[in-house]
Amino acid sequence: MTSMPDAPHTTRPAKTTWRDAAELTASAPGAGDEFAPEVARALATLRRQHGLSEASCQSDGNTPDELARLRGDLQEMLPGVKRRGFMQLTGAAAVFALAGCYKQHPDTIVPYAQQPEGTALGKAVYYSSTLRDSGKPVAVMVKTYDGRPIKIEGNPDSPLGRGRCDARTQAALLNLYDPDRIQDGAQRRDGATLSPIAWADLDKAVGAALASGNVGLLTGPIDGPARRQLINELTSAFGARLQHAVLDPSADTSRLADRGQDVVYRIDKAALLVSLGGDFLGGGSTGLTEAVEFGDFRRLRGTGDSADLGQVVVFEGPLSQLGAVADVRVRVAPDRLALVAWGIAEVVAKALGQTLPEAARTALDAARGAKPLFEALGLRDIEGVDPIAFAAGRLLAVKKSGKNSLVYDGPATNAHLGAAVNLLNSLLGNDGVTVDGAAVAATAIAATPGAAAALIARAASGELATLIVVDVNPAFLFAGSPTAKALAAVKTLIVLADRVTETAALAHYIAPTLHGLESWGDAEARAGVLSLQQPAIQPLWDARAAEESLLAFAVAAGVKTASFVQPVVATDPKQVAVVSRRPLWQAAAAGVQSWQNYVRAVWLGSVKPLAKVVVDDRTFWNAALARGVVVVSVDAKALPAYAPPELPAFPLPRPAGALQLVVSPSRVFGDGTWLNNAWLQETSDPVAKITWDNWLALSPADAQRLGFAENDVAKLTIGGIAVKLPVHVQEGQHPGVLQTFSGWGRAKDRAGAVANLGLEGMGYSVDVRPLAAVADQAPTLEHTGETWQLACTQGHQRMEGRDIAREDVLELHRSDPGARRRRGADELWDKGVDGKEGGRLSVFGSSHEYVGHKWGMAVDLTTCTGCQACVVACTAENNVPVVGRDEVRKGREMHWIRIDRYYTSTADATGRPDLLDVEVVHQPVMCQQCGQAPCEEVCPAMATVHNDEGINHMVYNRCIGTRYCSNNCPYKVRRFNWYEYSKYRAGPIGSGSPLVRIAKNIQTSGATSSQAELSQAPLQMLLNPEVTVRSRGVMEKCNFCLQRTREIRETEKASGSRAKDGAVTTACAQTCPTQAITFGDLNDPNAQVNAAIAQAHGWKLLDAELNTRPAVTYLAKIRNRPATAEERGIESPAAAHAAGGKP
Amino acid sequence: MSAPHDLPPLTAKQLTDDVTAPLFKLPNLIWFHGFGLAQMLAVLLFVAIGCYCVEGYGIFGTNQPVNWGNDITTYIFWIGIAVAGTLVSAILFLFRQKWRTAINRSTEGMTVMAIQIAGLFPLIHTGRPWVDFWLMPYPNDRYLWPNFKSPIVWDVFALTAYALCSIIFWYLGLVPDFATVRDRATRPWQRRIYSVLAMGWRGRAEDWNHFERAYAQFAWISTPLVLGMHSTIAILAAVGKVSGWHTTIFAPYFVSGAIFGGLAMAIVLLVPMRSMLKLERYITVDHLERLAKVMLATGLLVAYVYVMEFFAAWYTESPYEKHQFLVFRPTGEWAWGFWTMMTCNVAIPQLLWIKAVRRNLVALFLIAIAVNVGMWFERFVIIALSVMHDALPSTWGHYAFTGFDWMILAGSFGLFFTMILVFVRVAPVVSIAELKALLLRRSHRKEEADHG
Repeated sequence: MTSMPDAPHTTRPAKTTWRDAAELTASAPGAGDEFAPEVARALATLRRQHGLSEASCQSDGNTPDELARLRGDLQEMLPGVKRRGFMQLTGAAAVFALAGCYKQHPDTIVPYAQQPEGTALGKAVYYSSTLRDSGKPVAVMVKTYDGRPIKIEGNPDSPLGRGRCDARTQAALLNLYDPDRIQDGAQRRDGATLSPIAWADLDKAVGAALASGNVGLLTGPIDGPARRQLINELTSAFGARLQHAVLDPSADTSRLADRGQDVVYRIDKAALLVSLGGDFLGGGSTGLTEAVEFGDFRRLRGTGDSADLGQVVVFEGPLSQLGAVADVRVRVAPDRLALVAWGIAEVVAKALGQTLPEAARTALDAARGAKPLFEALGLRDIEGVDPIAFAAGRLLAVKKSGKNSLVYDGPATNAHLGAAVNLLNSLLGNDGVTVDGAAVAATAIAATPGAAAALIARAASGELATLIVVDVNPAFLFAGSPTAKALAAVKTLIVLADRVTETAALAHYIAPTLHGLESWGDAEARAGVLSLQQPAIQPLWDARAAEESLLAFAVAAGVKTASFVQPVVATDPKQVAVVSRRPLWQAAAAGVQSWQNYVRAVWLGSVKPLAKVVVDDRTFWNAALARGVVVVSVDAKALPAYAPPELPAFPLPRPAGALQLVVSPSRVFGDGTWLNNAWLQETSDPVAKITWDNWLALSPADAQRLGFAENDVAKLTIGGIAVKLPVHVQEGQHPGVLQTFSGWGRAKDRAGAVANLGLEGMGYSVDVRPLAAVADQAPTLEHTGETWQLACTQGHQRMEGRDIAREDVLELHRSDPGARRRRGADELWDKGVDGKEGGRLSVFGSSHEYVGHKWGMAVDLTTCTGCQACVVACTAENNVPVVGRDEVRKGREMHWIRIDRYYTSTADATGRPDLLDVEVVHQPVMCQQCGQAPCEEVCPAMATVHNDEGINHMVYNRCIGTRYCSNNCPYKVRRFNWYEYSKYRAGPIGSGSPLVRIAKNIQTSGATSSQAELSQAPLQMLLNPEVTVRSRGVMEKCNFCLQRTREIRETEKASGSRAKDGAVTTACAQTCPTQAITFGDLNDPNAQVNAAIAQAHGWKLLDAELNTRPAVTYLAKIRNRPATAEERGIESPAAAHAAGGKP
Repeated sequence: MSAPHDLPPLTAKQLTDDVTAPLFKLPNLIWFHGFGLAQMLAVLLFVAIGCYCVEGYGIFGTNQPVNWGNDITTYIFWIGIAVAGTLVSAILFLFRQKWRTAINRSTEGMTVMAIQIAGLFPLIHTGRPWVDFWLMPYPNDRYLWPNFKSPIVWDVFALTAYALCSIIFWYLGLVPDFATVRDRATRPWQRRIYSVLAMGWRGRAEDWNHFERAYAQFAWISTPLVLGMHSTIAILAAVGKVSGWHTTIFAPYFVSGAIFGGLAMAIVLLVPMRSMLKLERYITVDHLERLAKVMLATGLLVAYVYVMEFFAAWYTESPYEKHQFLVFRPTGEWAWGFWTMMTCNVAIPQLLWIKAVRRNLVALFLIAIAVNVGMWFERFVIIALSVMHDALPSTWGHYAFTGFDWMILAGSFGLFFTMILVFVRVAPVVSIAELKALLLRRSHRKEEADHG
């Protein structure tokens, strides 16, 4: 504030303000009056008009009428409210009065009485935390606004995730706000009904049960110092009375059994990955860390002859996510994989002067007969080379060059295959390098095979009086098996879960648990990488952390271990739940140690010494919370040398083409815990591109042979179990292989309202887990005569000879990296006749000059694995609505970024493409921010315009919805709000047919109160306040996370300096686990994005055809495989054209 | 053979009696049935529009990538119908084609009704119909103007200008006839209404002088507008970067297609109308035959363009164009629509080479209906099929009608026929004044012959 000089005030009259002209004229204008000259002029004019003298203006000389007329006229001429102004105000008042006729929201907004220190309203606050929603611990940063988490990002301080995040972890936000969680405190089951029970009563009841007999404790995987110590203390406190088992549906338990120790796969230390039926990317047993490292492994390094990237050789039956990115993919029936593996081992062993076990040699000789092994097993050759010899040769070559490889088969339980894989890794010297025992978390309690089922069986038999199940769902995971039935026989079953799951439905008591974003905890993702979990929001409902429940139970059972108890502190009456208005659980009031204190004590007691820092406790704790991750050195556990076990006799392979079933975990949902997550439901499968339903993948050969077409509903019978599933004809799938995915099929209301939308009659959310147990039997397929349209997000699967996703082969790329570009039509385009992009080929001349920032992006097709993390990141960042199955079927999905997946293959003699030996290319497509945008020219309302940083905006307010822009967009990245999508939680399908909704809309004047509404509390809390929620009838699309580039502009203005590269990035680029997407300022010569774009194999999609000048550059997919004769021969553009989608 | 403008031997009174008869008596049962049916269909249109306003554009079948389907197809269909009416009245007037006299009033009426229905469709195809007025450049405090680069804005201007001009042109021609009706009306309320409509017409030489000049001027104004109107529609597609839209041949192609389809609609209207209103003496088979000939000629133009599109796609070697024209349209999921178009627009009209077919009203009527069906599909093939298979195969989509699409399509016909059926009851469907002029000229000729 600047202070005014006060000298002039002394000469002014006391009254210098007036309400209107009347008051002004009434109070005789003084000399200091700022309007005095104007008033004087007006008075003079009026006097002339009224024929009055100077003196007669005084009241004594005139009649009151004359004076009134004079005053009225004077008012007309003076500042203030005039007649016209009055009319304007009246009109405006009427408009505002009408505008105010909305129904007001009944809640009130209360501002901070005392604003928390360091909080700036409207500024996001980030908290580091750790989430396990993807099945593995992932260190994250939680972005919150006013105490509400609105986005989950990777923690850049984590050496594992490096700031990136996977799809499922990001979708955890929706799990937090899921209205289907238990909202009214602890529950007690009486028959079929659940009734709330006070926490104190629950603890008393459970304590009595615990004190009375043996206890079983079934948890998910345990890691992290505090979580581990809690289990240790419980076990030591209860002694032999407590038996603990871990149930981890995604655990690689076979490896544990084979090696005697859990292992971690270090793909970043490998130069070659040979996979035998394992899906390293989508198989569920690897996590974000492996995906991040896979990106490093796959990234093109060096130029010219030294250009190199990790090679992937895959032998598999179905087309897996790893198979989709493989350089060499060889189809093989799953039951012959073991023989292929031993075949490779045979060649490798021979070269290294070793011999194979007798059983393996016998089996190989029997399988081989007189033919080469690969022919006998029905494998294709690779450019005339035996694929088994090829794989073995590559493995040996990598070993010879002093590098490491990785042979991988996933968490398969095939003993023959597992032995061969372990042997190969041992022979090749991969043990301890890429098969790393030392990286296994020191605090981890791994799941041992069969332990969980054995514990449940003991509880059912009465050996254990009480079974406590913590945050796992055995009734679903063991569905259809005796174990699931045994749960019902447990004497006292206490389930700690966030909703009434299949297991909780059987429980006697349910203790609701908190979501990871509401509670404390810790994790150790890899040895020495410790991360803290801290809440980013107050608990939404009356629930408590599972660990706190365990502490409370132990205390109630009379276990008074010092770390478990805390002196009773009076309850803070202000601590009431937002929704239920009941007092929230407070550990202090019950005399139980709070889980937060417990974690803090363990970290200060055991982590701080390891961290080797000399600071006080408070500083350490705050620093650990701020960073989220503490890396300490721990004692490495060396992997014991591998000794091949006695192999049982090899089973005879089935006849060629015989049907066999493969049950894999869903590539989107994993084990199905979060089936109620609408974001994941609408995330398309990385390979099949299907959303919302489970499906049966059938080889094109089988589909033709058995007469199935896409979307036919087939009845699959195996081992006496029959399921009906819609058929998806999966290109690349080996004939005879049937693939289904587990993770779907939660029982009604057990996962929630969104998962219910797939139940029988409404969808095909079918649980196929019971089939896995009988998968070695012969399946039969029958027609049902029904069809079910799968909601597939991709319209057509092949490029049809168009120049869309370019590919090159490494050896050709080495000799001539720009060859592929020249083979296209754009050499002339690149150079141009005036030396500028596009040249004078266009009537528009050269492109616009961007003086400030010019945002751009590079997308590397080589490292993209199609994992969909970018799609979920974009959904969370930009408030992208979920539209539901019916709308996806119509092609109305709203994702601003999509990953196109094209199959390419050579044509057979008849010119038809080969549907079996296909290669796959993933291409993420977002708005290309065209320099000459086709959408902008045609919008009649100027609702889509360019800014001076090269970004194409959508002005939602201005859009009237002609959809001309979308028609004219060659990339079809624009999305239209056909309905008020933002209103629905799982799309309009959850709320009936259009007619039902119309009736409802009319009834409630536009505010429907459906179960499926997004406005259902607390779902509206997840919206990002930086981004407009779009209403119906407007177009929307990617804008390179405009809110982020805007924010940078403001900080630049404040600091006066240009933002450094990396200071701003889009949600997709930020999260991409393999860093396939790079975002940055094209005007910054040092920007990473410019280095990426400068590579010779970059090109702009459809630019040469349509002159759109996109800001996105794609880098061609480089395949690390031998070039075919055809590929070597192609020199001319015409020949490239004739080869269609193949380079 | 007599020329079509040759009138039967009758007096001016007989002519006036015949033409104004429907205005002074109760309609027959056929009219009532037709009117009831048309009204029922029209109600569907308004129900669908109501549902769309309440719930959103999603109730229709459009999607990504087929952002325009039934809505714009039907819009262009009705625009095409409208264009033909002005062609008959204005262009044939300027070329002094006297045979137009018998049919120009009814085709103009068709234009006026069709343009209103056409105008409805752009308004109800937007996502937020309540802000459709943003398409107009109106003064506002934020200085926001429409984007003059956008063909939609040109389309708004073209449509508005064309609609206004054709309504004025139509009304102008009606003024002397309204005066005739006024003079003959016996019921006071009818007299009152028609005297307002006749705008004080007295039949003075001055009146006629002004009238003829104004009429000719409007004919001159309408002619470029009618060509411009449909060329603008063509540019709407041609400006697009979509294979199948991006074609320079579109403007003449669309205009000839519009005349082709519009004349077919005129035949569909005239054949039943002349018998219903007992105007066979005035609207003769000769007139209809002439329409059929023009229809055949424009149909051949359209067929030529179809062939040229295929040739251009093949000749350019562009995989995008080739797929659209040589693969998707003839063999894709909507091939039946494409072949319906080909059959109705190319094959069936060839029957019109046969004179007996041209003069057989039942055959002519059926051919005209086929052409109307074919022309709807032509617009559908261009608008929807092109975007259905656009540049990136991953985005290829499908399109299907919903119940609401059927409602607005059928409803638009219902509204059209409702308005036409009202029109034939309240206005003379044949231009009395112009016919009388012909009578006069004939009597002059006769007198000259008698005295000669």
